[in-house]
This record gives sequence, C-alpha cells and structure tokens, in this order.
Amino acid sequence: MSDATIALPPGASTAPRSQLVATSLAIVAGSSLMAGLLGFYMSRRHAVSAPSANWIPDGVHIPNAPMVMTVVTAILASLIGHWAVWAAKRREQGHTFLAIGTTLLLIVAFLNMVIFSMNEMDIAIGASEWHNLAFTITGYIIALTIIAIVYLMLMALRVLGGDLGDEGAALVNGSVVFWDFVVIAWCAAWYAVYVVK
Amino acid sequence: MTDISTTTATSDGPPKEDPSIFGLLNTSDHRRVGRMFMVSAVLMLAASTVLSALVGLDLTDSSDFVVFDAQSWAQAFALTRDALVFLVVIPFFVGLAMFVVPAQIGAGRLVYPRAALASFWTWKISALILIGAYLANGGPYGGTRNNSDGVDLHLISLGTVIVGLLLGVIVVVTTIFSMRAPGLAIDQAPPFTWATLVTGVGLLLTLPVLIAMLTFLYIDHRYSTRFDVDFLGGNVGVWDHLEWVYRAPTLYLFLVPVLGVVAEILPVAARRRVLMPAMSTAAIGAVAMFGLGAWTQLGGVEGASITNGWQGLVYVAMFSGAKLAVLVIIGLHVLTIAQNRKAPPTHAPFLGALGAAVLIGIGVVHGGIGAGLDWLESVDAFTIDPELPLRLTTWNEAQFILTVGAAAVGMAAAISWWAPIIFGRHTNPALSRLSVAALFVGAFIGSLGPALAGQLTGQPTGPTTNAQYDFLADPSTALNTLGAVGLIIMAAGAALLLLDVAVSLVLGKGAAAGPNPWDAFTPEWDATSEGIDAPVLPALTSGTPLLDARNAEEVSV
Repeated sequence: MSDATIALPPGASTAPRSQLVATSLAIVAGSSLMAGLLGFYMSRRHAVSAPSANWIPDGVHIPNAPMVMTVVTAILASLIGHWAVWAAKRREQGHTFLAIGTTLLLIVAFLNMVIFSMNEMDIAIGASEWHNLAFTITGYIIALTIIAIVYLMLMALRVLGGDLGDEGAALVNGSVVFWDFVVIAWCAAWYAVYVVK
Repeated sequence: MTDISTTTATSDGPPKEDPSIFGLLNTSDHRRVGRMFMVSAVLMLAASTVLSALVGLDLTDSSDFVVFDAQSWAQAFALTRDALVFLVVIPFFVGLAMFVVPAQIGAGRLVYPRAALASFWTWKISALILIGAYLANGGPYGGTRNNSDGVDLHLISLGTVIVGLLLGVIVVVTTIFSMRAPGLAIDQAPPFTWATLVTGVGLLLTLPVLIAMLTFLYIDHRYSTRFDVDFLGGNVGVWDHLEWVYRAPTLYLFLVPVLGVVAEILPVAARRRVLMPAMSTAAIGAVAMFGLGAWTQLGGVEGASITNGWQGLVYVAMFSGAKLAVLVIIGLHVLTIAQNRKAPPTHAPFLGALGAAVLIGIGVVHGGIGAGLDWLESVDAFTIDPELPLRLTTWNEAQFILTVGAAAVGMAAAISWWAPIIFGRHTNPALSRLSVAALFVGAFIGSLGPALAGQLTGQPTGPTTNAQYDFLADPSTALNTLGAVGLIIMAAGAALLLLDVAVSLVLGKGAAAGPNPWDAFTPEWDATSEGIDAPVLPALTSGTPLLDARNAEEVSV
C-alpha cells in the first residue's frame, strides 16, 4: 500500500464555464454549417453561370438600403449585448436589464428587416436554383436569430432571478457570444448572396 | 490494491435510476442514457449487417437481382450506408463516451444529462422515421413521379438523426473541457477520452456540412416542380450529394474512437505503458484532423476530376496523412505488445482490439493503393484497365466494409472490456470470442470480394444514376459471391454479439464482475473499486493513475 497522498481542493462550480464551452461548440457546428451552405452556393454559382448570363433571375430586385441596415442593426445589437455583460459583471442590475432589453429590441428589428427584404425580393421557392439557395441560406439566418432571441431571453430571466456578478455575466456572455456568431454569419451570407450575387 | 487518496467531487454523483419504463423517458442518469445508446446501436448493427448481406446476395446472379428489384436494391444499398454509420457506429461510441468519459476524467456525471437524454430520443425517433421513409419508398432513387413525399421525409429524418448525435457530442465534449478533475491535463487524459474529444470536434466540423446539403436537397426537391430534373438532380441526384460521407477521408473520422479503444486495451494486455505515448496521442489527433473530408463532397459530385490538379494533391495528402498516422498508432501498440515477453491474453477484449487494429491496418493499405493508383493515372503515369478509376468501383466498397468491420470488432471489444463497469457483469467468454472472430473474418472476406472485383473487372460501386446495376459490365459473380459470404458471416457475428449483450448483460446472466478484472490502468476502474455511485472521486494527475501507483509501489519495494 502506498502512503502517498494527493490533496487537491474541491473544484469550483463549473456551470457557467460549461455553458460558454457548450455555446462555443454549438458555434463551431453552426459555422461549419454556414460554411457548407455558402461553399455550395458559390460552387453552384461558379458551375451554372456563364459570363454573359445572369445568375440571379431577371425580375429579382435586391433592396440594398434595408440590407445594409440589417448589418448595422445586427452589429449595434452585438455591441449593446456586450454592454449587458459588462454591467452584469459589475452587478449593475438596472444597466443590465436596459442593455438586454435594448439588445432584444434591436435583434427583433433585425429580424423584421430581413423578412421585409425577403418580401421585397418576392423570393418564390422553386422558381429557380438561385431562389432555392438564397431562401435556404437566409432561412438559416432567421432560424439562428430566433434561437438567439430565446437564448438571450432565458439568460435575462436568470439575471432577473438575481444571478449577477461573474456568474451572471458568464451566463449572459454565452448568449451574447452566440449572437456575435449570428452577426458574423449574416455578414458573410449578405456579402456572398446579396452583394457579390 | 494500491490506495489512491481522494478528493471531494466537483459535482454530485449521478442520481438513482428509476427502474420503471418511464425511467427511459425522463432519466437524468448519464449512465443509463449511455446504455440506451449502446444497446440500440448493437441492435441496429445486427439488422444493418443482415441487410448488407441481402444487398451483397443480390449481386451473385449475373442476369437479375436475387432479393430486391432495381429501385429497392438502390435504396437498400443506401440504407446500409446510412444505418451502419449514423445508426450504429457514431451512436455506439457517443453512448460509450457518455458512460465512460465522466469516469475517466474524474467527473461525477455528464455536464447536461437532460440534453444527453434529448440527444438519445431525438436520434432514436428520427432513426425510426428514417427507416420508415425507406419503407415508404423514400430513399435515394426512391419515390414516383406522382408521390415522392418519402424522399422528403428521408432528407428531414437523416438531418434530425445527425442533429441528435451532434447534441450528444456537444454534451460529451463540453464535459471533457469543463469538468475534468483538477490536475488532469487534456493531453494526459486516457486514450479513449482523447479519441472522443478529437472525434467530437471533427464531427462538429464535418456533419453540419451534411446538414447543409440535406437542407438544400430538401428545399430543391420539395418545392421545385420537376421530378427528376430538379436543380440538384431530384430523387436520383440525392445520393451523389450524400455519398462523400461514406468515403475516405471522412470514413477515417469514424475510426478514431476505435483507435481509442485499441489504445486502451492493448497496453493493458502488454502490462506496460504504450511506447512513446505522446506520439500515440498526436497520431490519434492527426487521424481526426485528416478525416475532415467535408470538402470532398464537391469532388464526389464532379466524379473523376477529384484527383486532378491542386485538389488531387490535397486529396492525396489527406489520404497519406491519415494512413501514416493510423500506421504509427498501430505500430506503436504492436511494438508495445512485442516488448512483453509473456504470452498475451486471449480474452475477447484483447482479441477484439487486435482484430480491429489489423482490419484498420489492412484498410489503410488498401485505401492507399487505390488512391495512389488513381492519382498516378490522373497525372498520366499509366492507364488502369478497365478505365473506371478504382474509387468509383467496388474497390471503394471494400474500403467501407473494412472500416465498418473494424468499428464492429472494436464495438465488440469495447463491450467486453467495459461491461464490468457498465453492466456489473462479464460477457460470455466463448460467445464474445466467437462474435469477435465472426465479425473479423466476415469483414475481411466481405471486403476481399468487392476489392478484387473492382480491381480486376472495374465493377462499379453502388447504383448508377438510373438506379440500375450494370450487369453487362459485371462478369464477376464469383467474386460477388465471395463478398456476400463474408457479409453473411459478419451478420452472424453481429447476431452473436446481440445475443451476448441481451443474455449476459441486459438479462444479467453473465458472471458477476469484480473490481478491475483486467488490471487496467485508467481512472474508471478505480471508481469501480470505490463503488461507482460514491460521491467521492479520485484525484487525478494523469490518465493512468493505477499504473502510476503500481509502478511507484514496485519502485518502493
């Protein structure tokens, strides 16, 4: 029998770090999915379109101004989301609620603008290959946005329950980092599908 | 028994199980979820290998199909691929990881046990719907001009199968990252935990690309108006966009957990640490890295051009890197066994681990020859006769059978190895040896027929674009019969494994297991000696605390 002893202190609660790790892994999977979508979109555009032909069907009008505003709004929501994390870390409950509320409002505005833009373009599924691909990619962004809203609302409830300080900030941080990912994904999709076309 | 001091667990131990049927629906015990995954996967292995044998039998007559008709055969072929990868290999190792990994890293439980349960039921229900979609004539090449809803159902259910598995992967990988015992570095973790980690990251990077593809195919198929000339090919184009998952290099990613099992068992059989453990760890990571083959989906669609130009160079590099890393791992473990002057044991886990390593070795050499010849042909070094590149012949099918065979043998080895802590009992020694032997022999013979048929006659792999099988170009019925015999033996091995699991483990007829019956090194065996429900867990500074303690004891003596 060995007399050697190993004395390690009990570990701290791991839940907040686990949440950030799990969120990061979900972001890895989501990034890979977006890369797959955009990669396939670009490969089909390359394969189908001739120099003299239009990849985007005639009659599709892309509303550039609202599209640019979606990007600006999304980035603004991200910045204010980080304000919420900053405030939660300092236990400033009023600022935290204000920042989370504003972030949610901006995300909903972003969602509204994306759906408005799709209606403006009158994307009809099945009308052409471009319609199908653009609908799928933009649809994924909308799905991710809804997930981000639910995630942020759940974390807001945790903060409302009194989870402030480092632990509360870590909770909010997970949802804000997820929104950061959605912003980057949308910027990539917007550039590849609606700018480069 | 060496005494290893303990520290308070960083989390509560797993909850007591609800033994009723409702416990299956609401359990938060990660161990039970892990068992549910494993038993379901073994059941699916038996069913899938029987289907594989029927698919093989259909090619033994040169004039017509024996069991199916042309359209059904094409779907049965696709279902064997879907099932063996997504209903057998990945879920089995996800389930095994859910049980074993927390014990190996000194965590009392999985980080999100409810998410693990959600993962299981999402996977399970989706798997049943996937099979239902095939039965409704909805697989690739299925459907009719007036009714192809089954194809839509197939695309959705395969996507949700993958979502369920990825949820489980996230839970396990998060546990490894955030709940390791204080003092246990990731690169010091036991080989199976390390293999699970790198496979998990690889799957998170690879399978979402398949989900993206499935979504495009669904939108295109569901909402475009033409049956067989949709933009992405309609029903008959589905398979072209999915089959890259069942080819190397992506195929190698599914082998990494098997390498983890091999790296757990063989050093224990040799009673010593593996030679150059850091290199072994790095090589396991390298196989996962080279298995990131999502980019090959474009090459797969483009067919022969994949070995041309820069893409061909990357392709060959990915192939070579994965194969080199696999050979390094196998070589190090074989040398470790050779260092031990005593005769190695003959129990099922050792034989299974060795058999899996041999099949993987044969598989990488086989794949290397095929890729090398195709690439040399693409740079006009010489011409293969017949003209079809090897990877488009049944040579490639042999690679799949070797890979899945290695995984099945690895599953049998893992079940026998960890049964004492997972079920508290041993498998039946004779039955488990027999199942390992049948799976090994079946996979070898099952791959030999298609490999020779591909090389000698250029027999095309799988269904062609019109869902027919080109019998005129396929005079190799003798070799096809050889392959079918192998697949039948493999199915028999899978049935024996299922019988062993059902009788010895689930019904509890196996011999009761004592603590650490294999004299293993890794932490989960020490948890067994303390009682797995104990809330006090060992403090860890390495992945082999029992070996460290034994070595220290020998030095002190």
